[in-house]
Amino acid sequence: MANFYIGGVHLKSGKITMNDKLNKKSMLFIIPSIILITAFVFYPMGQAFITSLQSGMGNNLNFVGIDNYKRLLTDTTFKKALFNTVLYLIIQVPIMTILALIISALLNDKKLKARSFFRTSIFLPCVTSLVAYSIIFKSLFATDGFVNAFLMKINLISEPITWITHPIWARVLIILAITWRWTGYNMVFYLAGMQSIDDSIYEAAEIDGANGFTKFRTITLPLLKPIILFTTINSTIGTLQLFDETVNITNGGPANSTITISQYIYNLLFKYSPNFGYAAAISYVIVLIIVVLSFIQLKAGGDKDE
Amino acid sequence: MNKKINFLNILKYIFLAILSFVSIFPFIWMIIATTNKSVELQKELCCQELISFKI
Repeated sequence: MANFYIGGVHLKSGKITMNDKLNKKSMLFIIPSIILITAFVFYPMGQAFITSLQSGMGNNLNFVGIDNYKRLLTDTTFKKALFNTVLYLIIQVPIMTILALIISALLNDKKLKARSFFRTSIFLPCVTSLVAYSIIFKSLFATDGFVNAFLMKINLISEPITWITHPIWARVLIILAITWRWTGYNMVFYLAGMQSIDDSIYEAAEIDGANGFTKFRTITLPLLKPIILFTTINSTIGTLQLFDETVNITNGGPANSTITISQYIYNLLFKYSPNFGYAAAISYVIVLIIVVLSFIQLKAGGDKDE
Repeated sequence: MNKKINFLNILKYIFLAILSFVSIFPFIWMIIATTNKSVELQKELCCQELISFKI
């Protein structure tokens, strides 16, 4: 009679018997985590889904089926918020990723002088509070602010740019702000990845006559692929949940031209008449977009052998 | 060849220095902001003075 032993579970003639006391004990250790995760993650997710099928003001909710999801298709503010969020995602994430890769490649040079200073200063924006830096950016990019005064001083512009009140410049400002805040964060991941690459690989490439760019393209990039994938997915999720910057710099304006989905959810709950059902439905749309994008990125960037 | 490498090295330092300055500047601005009234910070005159001081 065949006996199998899989993952601490003894399988004998079709019967599953826990013959290891250690497994029972380890299960006891896992149970509190399972209870906590269920209570604080899965239960709210389920509750939010149920809420997304209801409609009404405040707590007076009635079951309406998929009406909230149907409403999304005709909601112009939602479409605008979705467009803005996708725009930030398409423009900002590639710029930030490429910039972080270039900086980390430059800072990985062991002969570079003042390496610690450059690393620290470029990483420094990450330690700032989101609200604090948003307010600083609002002050710097005000019509009579420092940036306009500087650009006029060096004769790059003849009249001040209305960074906060012009629909396009406001979007540019949001993208600039997010890039300033998060490039250093991604740079640290790439730098850690680059430092774990064995020097002998680069030495072998040098002997074969590879120049700096060839080494970066054929050694660094392929070996950093899992980290690039991780940071790209993280940045995508972060951009889709963008809230603090748009609220504090432009407050979604002018005329909702910089509003994001997260801010629209906030407005639905705390600024307009509270509609929990519709807000929950929009939240589920974000979840769906994140799942689909992460899946695509994993498939496109993941290892084919896995 | 050596000249080319040196030129690239200088470019690298300039690029990193600009990035470092851009990264640090909002913090410097934050410190300047703490030593000025908000009305003064909004004034263009104040910004011009700051620029002429920095450059």
